[in-house]
Amino acid sequence: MKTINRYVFVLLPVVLMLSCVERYIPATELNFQSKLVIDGTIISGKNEQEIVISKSSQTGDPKFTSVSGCKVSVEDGKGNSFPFPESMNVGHYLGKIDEDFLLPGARFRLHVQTLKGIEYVSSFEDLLPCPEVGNVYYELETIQTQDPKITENGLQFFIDFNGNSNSGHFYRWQLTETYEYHSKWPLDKWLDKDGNHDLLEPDYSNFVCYKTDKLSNIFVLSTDGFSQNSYSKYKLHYVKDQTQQLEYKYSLLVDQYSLTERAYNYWENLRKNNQETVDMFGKQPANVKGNIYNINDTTDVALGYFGVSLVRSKRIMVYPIEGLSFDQALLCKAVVIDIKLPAERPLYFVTDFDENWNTYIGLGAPACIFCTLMGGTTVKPTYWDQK
Amino acid sequence: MKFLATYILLFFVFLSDLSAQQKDNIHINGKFRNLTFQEFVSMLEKEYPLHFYFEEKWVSSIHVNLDAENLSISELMDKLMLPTMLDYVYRPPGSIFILPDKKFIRQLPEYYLSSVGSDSLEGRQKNMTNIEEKYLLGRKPNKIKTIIIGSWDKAKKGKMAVITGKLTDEENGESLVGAVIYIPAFKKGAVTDANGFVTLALKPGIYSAVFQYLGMTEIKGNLDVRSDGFFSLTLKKQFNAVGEVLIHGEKTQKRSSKPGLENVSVKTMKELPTLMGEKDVMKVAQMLPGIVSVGEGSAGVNVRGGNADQNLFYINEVPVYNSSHLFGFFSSINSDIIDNFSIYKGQIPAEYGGRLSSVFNVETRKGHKNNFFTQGGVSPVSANAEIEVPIVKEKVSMILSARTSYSDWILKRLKDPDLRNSQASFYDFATVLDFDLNEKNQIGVFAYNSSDNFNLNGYTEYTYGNLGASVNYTHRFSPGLKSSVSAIGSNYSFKTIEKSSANEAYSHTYDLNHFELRGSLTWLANERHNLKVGTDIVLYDLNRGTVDPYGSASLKKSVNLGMEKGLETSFFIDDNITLGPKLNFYAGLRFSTFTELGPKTVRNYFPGTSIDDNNVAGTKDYQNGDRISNYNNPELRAGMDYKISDNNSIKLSVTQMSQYVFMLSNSISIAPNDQWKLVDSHIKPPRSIQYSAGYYREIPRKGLNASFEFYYKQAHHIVEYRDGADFLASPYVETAILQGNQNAYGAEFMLSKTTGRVTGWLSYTHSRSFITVNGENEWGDINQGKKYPSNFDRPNVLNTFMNLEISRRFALATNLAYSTGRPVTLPQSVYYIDEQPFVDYSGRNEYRIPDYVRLDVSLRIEGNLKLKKPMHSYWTIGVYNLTGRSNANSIFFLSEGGKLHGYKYSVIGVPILTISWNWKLGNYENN
Repeated sequence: MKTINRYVFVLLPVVLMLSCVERYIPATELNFQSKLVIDGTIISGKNEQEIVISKSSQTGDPKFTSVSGCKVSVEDGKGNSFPFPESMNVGHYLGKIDEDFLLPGARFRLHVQTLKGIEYVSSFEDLLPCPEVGNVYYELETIQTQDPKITENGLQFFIDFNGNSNSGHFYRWQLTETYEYHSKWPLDKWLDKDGNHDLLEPDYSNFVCYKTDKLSNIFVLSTDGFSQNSYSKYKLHYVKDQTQQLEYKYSLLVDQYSLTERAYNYWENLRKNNQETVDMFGKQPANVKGNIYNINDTTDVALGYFGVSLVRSKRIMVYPIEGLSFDQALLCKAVVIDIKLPAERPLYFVTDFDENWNTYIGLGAPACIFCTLMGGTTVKPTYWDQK
Repeated sequence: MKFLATYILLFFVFLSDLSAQQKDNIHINGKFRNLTFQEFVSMLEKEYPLHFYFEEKWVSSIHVNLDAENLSISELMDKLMLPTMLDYVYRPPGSIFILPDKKFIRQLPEYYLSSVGSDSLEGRQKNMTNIEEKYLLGRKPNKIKTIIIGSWDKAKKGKMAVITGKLTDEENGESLVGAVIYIPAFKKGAVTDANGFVTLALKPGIYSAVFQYLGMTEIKGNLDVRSDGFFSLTLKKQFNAVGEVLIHGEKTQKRSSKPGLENVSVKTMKELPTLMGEKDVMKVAQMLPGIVSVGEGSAGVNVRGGNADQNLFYINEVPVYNSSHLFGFFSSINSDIIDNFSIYKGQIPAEYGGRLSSVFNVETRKGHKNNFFTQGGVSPVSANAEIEVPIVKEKVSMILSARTSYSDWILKRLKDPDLRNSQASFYDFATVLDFDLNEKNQIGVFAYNSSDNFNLNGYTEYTYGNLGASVNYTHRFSPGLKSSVSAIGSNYSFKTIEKSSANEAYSHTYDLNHFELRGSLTWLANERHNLKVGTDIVLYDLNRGTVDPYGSASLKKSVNLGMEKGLETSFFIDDNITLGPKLNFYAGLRFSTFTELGPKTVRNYFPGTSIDDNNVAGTKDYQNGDRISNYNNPELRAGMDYKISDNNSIKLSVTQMSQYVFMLSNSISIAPNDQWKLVDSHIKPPRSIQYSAGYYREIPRKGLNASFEFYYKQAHHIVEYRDGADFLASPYVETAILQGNQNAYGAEFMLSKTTGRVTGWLSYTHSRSFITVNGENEWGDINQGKKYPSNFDRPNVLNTFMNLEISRRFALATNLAYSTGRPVTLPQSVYYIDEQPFVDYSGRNEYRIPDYVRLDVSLRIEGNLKLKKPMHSYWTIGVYNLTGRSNANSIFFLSEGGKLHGYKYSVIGVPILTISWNWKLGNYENN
């Protein structure tokens, strides 16, 4: 860099970062009035149906507050009534609807009477047919981050939808992921109040765990107005490679629910209001309107939606593929032992490598040894060894 | 500088003079015949211990002929200097300083003609300095120009004579717009129009008049008015020689009689610090009271609580449908070619109509009529240039202007990966042709083209452009009767390609054509009435376009959004009535009609039901040219201006407006793909009435102007949008919109300083703007029928702009913008569905985002101040958002991993340093 024309240097404005997104905490409101929340979807293929009734809470202190003591029942279009008594789980009302009643063309309506005697009723919801789940697949994808030099790798999941003229146009996918993960070290040596322990053979019983999570993302599809009732490569979620999720085995369960148009509008507005980042031009939040009304005051609408869906499911297994890297070095590292041992018990001794690849003995965190401490279970799912 | 040093020197010497009287010992003896001063001085210096200090040129024509008999130095010098214009100071013991002028004139020079000889008279007169000249000239009776208008034979007994004058720039022949002619006897003044013409009605006689224009030497003259007639006058640029006391800034001008009229000066455009160093006329407008925008990155402005589509932008009579480039960061007109920019937001003259809130009228320069001229500028993201060419000297001139951007290198440096892979660019061109045929006929031609392109990471592509042309012919039948006819065409089109998801990819093209014919007649009937009558016919031909599937994988079905045609016809008549020197009335009436024309398919719906696809009773097909619906709206425009005294006045006005074209926009800021739509059988034209009152005060000695204005506005049939409205889904827009009422009121205060080293203004506005959509039934309501604040409701707005002239070459400008945060709909509570938290939103716009505060500074460094130089340039170094405050643009909440997180999105979050360079032919003053 000999002589940089000083005018060129001077002409470069300091524009390395222009716009930004920051955390924002709004002031808590003063006149807060809690609203009733009634959430329930009648689905096929399940032994028990569940309606959950709760109250909304303040944004500053969000919590699930169940509402107990309601009288809940579901009626179908033919005059049958199914009671939903409250279960041991407060706020959860369980009922049974036989499969014979859950056929395409049936309609259902919800009745709820609160302890105070206020009656809520929903609109009649139709049960629409649901085709088999289409292909669920994934692709390796590299995405850019806020730092132009750093990129991330991961798997982007997609789903195809194949309906026909008999299927409806509105669907929702609920995803549940299960993945296998391992601890860093098996249980071998430890020190507790009883003294030192050293196993002949390291104990691997807590080494392999399986975690199942229901994904919170709302995925909805509308093929209304399309030339064919199908859709290819609908973008589902993205799993990055910075965790153990994709390292060993990953399984995705897709439940496909058929929706009425009204239910689709509800879920789509709910998704837009809660899961979409800001649009460059800004939009007013949509009015997410449920379908459960106070009998005596139609302006009093409960939050939540009463829907009915036929469900089809599909499960896929994902094995580690090339192109993913798993950077776990930071997570579990043995702590170098000081001259004086820390006071807590038990202490776990493990072997690890230092920067020069020499081994040393240090202290391992319990979560790096007992995989269940990370939230999973050592019980292998029944489908785990399927292809 | 020379004279200043001389005076300082004189002062000290005078002081020392007082103390050194006693040492006057040297006496001179001798006869000196026919010597030059230098020879005389050398002789003295050889003989006596004296030293003379002088400049050759002062003494070059002095001949010394005297006999000295024991003269003291003082006596000798007195004798020597008496016949000359020089003076001296004697500092004992032996220093004599010759000074170039006398401390005071002892005698008039003519008296000494005989004693010294005729050739030295010339020498003496050449030696007269500027100061002396001024003094002498000042003593003579005022040598004033007398302008004779008309002739006695044409005079009509007892009747007022209507005179029309044209004021031009002596140097380039350009007509002066906004020059003032003031008659002190009547305390009456008038201002020249866009062609440099001014018309007055006076009884025959001789009146003294003053002609003023910014930057020009004022001319005092006599108008000898004999009958109706024309006259012309040229004004000269006022060059302020270095070293004198300067008057910076504008001369105060008499305010016009319209409340709510803002004039943006070209000078302020040059001074205001902007985001990327580019002069921006719209940014200056936003510093004025009553004009706000939704935020940075928003392309529209909101005037007095009205929507962004309620403003009409004219450039030389061509309406521009999208007034900015690149999401509002740049204005869509090259500020260098703007001559005059007025914003009518209160009392709008009857000749304008079609939008509820304001008219932004930009008039361009007409072009140098004598010499080639060019100017331009370069900033980090854009460059612009204009050239002016006289095609026929004094008669025909042409301007060509071009502007383009190159912002890719900045986008590549942004944090957001989507923006990093985006491209954004724009360009615009303009041409002006001005034919000044004779004093009775002028023709003006204008053409304009602008284009924008934005590609967001390959997901979405926006392209839009304006294209327009206007031809105007102005003819003066007589000094008091002028006609003007214009033919105007304008086109706005855009294309959007949305391809983030292959199955849903689509492309949409939109096209709006606007053809207009305007004609008007202005008649200065007598001293009391100035009438204007005219008509305005606009044909709208717009094609909302089709939404087509894009790419082979797209499953979207084509939707034809339909074509629309409409004819807007208006007639107007207005009168400026002067009742005495203190009272002025403005009485105007505009009658506008709109006819919706076919071809079109129109639905009708079951009465009492919600207007949607399920309640269609039937459809009717109309052929091309069939009348489908019709609206008639009379619009009252009235105002009053009462001058309490010379420097304060009160103005009142009532203004009714109607609008027949509006923008479909369901986002808070204007998006590049928002469509304009005509009113039709289901969508009624919005109408408004505005009452305003103002008090104005001038303090000319301090160069201050203060104004207070109050307004109250009511509008009906304002278009609002149902939740989830999708304007690309169907040609039947009535299913997506709801119409309601808008109420706005406000108090605007402005204090401005126009003279002195520090100029600028301070403006504060308190205003509210509310919308109520309360239909007969629940489906016709927004926010349950309760009133809610508009998206641009900002109760308190404070803007200060200050320009400090540190010296002739350096100026520091700063502006502070503060406004209350705009309203926002925020989550009011959280509830759980399937163990995930979701938010329930409050009433619409019930809360506010944090306040907006921004401070900018810029330093302007002018090139040298030489009088004669081929090109002059100046640099501007500025910092936008000096404090680096992240002003929130919007707030949103995301449900992430079972938790609810609030986020604040800011468009600009750091200070932005920018440097730009501007150049022009000519010197510093030349404009």
